[in-house]
Amino acid sequence: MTALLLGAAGVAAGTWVGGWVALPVAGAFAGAWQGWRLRRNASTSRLRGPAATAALAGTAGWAVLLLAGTVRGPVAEVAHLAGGVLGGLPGAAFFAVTLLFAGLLAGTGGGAAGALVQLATNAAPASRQGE
Amino acid sequence: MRPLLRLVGWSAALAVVLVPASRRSGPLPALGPLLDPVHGVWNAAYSAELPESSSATVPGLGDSVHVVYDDRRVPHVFASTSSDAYRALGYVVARDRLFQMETQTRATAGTLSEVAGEALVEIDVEVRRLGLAEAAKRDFEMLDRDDPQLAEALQAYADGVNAFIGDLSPGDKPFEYHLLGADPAPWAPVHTFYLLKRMGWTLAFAPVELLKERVAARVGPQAADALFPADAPIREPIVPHRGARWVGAHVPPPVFPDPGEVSSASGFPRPESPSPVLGSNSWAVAASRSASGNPILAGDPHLSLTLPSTWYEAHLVVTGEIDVYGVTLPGVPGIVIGFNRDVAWTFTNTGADVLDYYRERLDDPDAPSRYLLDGEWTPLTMRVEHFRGRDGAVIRSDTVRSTHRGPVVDVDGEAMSLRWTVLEGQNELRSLMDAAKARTVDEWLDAMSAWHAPAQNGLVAGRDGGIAVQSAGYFPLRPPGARGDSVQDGTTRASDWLGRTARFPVAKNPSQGYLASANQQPYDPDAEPDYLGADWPEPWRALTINELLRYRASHSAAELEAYQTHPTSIRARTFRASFLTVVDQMAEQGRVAPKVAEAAGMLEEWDGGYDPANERAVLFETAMEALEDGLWDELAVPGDDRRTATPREDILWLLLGQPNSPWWDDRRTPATEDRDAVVAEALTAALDELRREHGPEDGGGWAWRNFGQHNIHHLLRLPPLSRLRLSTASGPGLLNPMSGTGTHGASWRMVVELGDQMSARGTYPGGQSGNPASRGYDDRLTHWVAGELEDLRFPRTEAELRAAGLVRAKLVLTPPRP
Repeated sequence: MTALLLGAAGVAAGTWVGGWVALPVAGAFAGAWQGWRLRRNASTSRLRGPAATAALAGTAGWAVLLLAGTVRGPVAEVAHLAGGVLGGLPGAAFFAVTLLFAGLLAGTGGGAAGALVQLATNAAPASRQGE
Repeated sequence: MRPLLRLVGWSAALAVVLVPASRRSGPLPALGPLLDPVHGVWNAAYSAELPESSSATVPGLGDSVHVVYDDRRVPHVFASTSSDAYRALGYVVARDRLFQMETQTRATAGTLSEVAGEALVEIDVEVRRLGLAEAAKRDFEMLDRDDPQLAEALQAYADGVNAFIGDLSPGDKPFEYHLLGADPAPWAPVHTFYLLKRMGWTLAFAPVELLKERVAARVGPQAADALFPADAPIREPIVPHRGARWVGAHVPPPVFPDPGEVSSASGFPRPESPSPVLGSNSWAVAASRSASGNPILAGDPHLSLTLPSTWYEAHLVVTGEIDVYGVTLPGVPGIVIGFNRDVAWTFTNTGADVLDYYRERLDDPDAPSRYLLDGEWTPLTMRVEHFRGRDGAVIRSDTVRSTHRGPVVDVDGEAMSLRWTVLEGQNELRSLMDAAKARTVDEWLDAMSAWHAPAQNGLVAGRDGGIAVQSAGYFPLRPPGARGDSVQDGTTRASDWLGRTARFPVAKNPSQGYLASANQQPYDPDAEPDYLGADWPEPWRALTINELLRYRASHSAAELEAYQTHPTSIRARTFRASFLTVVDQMAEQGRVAPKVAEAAGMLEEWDGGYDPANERAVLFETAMEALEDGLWDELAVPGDDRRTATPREDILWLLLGQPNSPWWDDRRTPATEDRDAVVAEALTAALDELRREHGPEDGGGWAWRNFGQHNIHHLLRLPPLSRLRLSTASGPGLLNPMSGTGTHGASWRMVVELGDQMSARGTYPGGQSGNPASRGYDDRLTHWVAGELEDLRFPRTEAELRAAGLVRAKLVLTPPRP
């Protein structure tokens, strides 16, 4: 949960400051965190793997931003227009595409980072044994 | 091994997602920047409405400028100097219409492919061959020397636009830029001239000589002259002369060429495109014909209807110098149509023939470098144009050739050069700026003397009681005997223009107490026989408005407003009567088929109206189409349901008076038809078609709302951003006109009463905002569709507007701190 919350906050803050590239970056941090926790605590559910955690964080982070956006202007109208222009999608589908994209990008970033952590933590005991 | 494989797998998946996230994929822009909830397309939601209070810094300002937006989102610009006012106008127009400004500039410069990709490169090629942007650059380069004050105004406006662009964060750019994955380009002062050239292209590119050549190839030159005459048979000129006159004339029969002589190019020319209704209305009543005793002016220019709209409303105030309200073209630092405290003005297109084609002889048809002139091979001027794609790479090159007259173009496989006033020196902006400051009708007319192209009928009314109309523009002075409605010989300088005509058609304070202009022939040819143009727009709107104004002693502003959407037309009255007369005559002779009588009975029930609920207008229009189809079979293109050209309806009126003319014979049938047979067939066909496709006549399927629809497309023709199938009380020949596609119509309706206080109402089909997510994108459409105008706010000060409780938002523009 910590990784998810921190990841979502990172995605939201990172997007606000730096744009969409925050998705894979914050997703990678969330994934790495979760991957490290998994290594330390084997009882942690596999459903909360690095990729899933990061994907959820990405989706949640952008969902929060869109929700906050509704206070600032007609977000649903933009979804309707943009969805219509880009392939005749209904507004709800454009919301879904946006959140799916966020989940995919953050999730793949998180998956890669989690795998890297796993590789590194696997290698570390081996190298210590070699000493 | 498995952790490594997992790392490789996830990395590959990340890379796969990152590609469409960061790069364009076909028509889709990069998804990352597009979908970003803060900086992407969603940002359009956050800038949809104006903040109540905002400020910005604009380089070059001499003092702070207060911009107060009223309840209709119109900016009232209060500035200390005119330069500051134009700077602020650039900023506020860009704030609402930046994408439109850039798109229309690129459409003239031939650089659309740089933002929209290769699909539009052919449009760019066509535009650059005409040389509009080159002509704009030439004019602009002369400006520093000829009119430094205007050059300064253009620079100030550009500074304002660029200050707005400079303030934009990547996410703040307008909606369409996100969709295209593009960024706004800086605005240059010359871009204003591009837009003026584009207006010239829209309003003054009417190659009647090519039309007549194509028709002559089908039916002979005499017939072509009669079908597309220089003088309108039905006359109600702009410069008043003996009222309305319907001048009958014999239409010579078609003469068909020997099939052996007909080449595929000239014998079966390309069919015409659907012709839009491009015209405008304007009228003014003098104090003597006004119910209130104040002059009243009404205007509604008809143009292609788009979203965002062609026009943008604004009010500029510079104490002691400018106080002008009206509509501007986004990108032009000035009010084009509007009013100040003393005069009001509007325009209709003159439609004069200001474009001539010359048939050239070139040394090499494939790669010409010289043209024959007075017996000598003369070098062509050549310019190589490069066209770039989205990534900046050259995707196409083209060599544009010109003679001393103008660009060489391919016309049905022949090389022709063209000379066109729009491509020659211009200073329309000077006219507009001076017109905005005019205190009297005479001062306004003087201001318009600098107007060059496109030729416009400027109608003005003054608070001093005067009214006037002047067809301002550069009218070619051709060699003796030469007319612009035939292609000229390009091999001799004897064909060249000699200069410009010295006289403009003008009428001032006529005894009839009113003036009206609806693109009709400006002069009655009996009063002024000089050639000014040919194939003038049809006379119906001019006849209708003259009739409305003539037969009532006085008119109120509310009545003039109602006339703009008057529900019937003289066209409908004329041809309905023709149908019924022919059927009556046939009935007297006992040769009316029951179905013809039935259709005629329905037309008799018709009140001539085109309101959305009317169930008879469609029968009339369908019968008119069938009548023209039966009449103009000689101009039909084999294998195509279109015609080479369709003569004006006043030629149809002439032929209805010649029942045995050979034109009535439909050569596609073995029988020999006369007028009565074609009229009967048209009524029968119309009735059958409507019942077959739209059900019984009183079942709702015939309601005009199903046919009379306006379609207002977004500039990119994106349906979600367009407003389509709008049922309006409009139709062919009405003062509120509509073409077949419904894409043209009244682009700005305005009525101004010039009393002690100016009182004005207006509206246009769209809204001030270019942001499709904004309420201001189309908030005026409801009024426009209903034919209603809104009160225009014309405060002298910000406090006046504030006291009336009409302030919606405020923007303060300040100079940068030293």
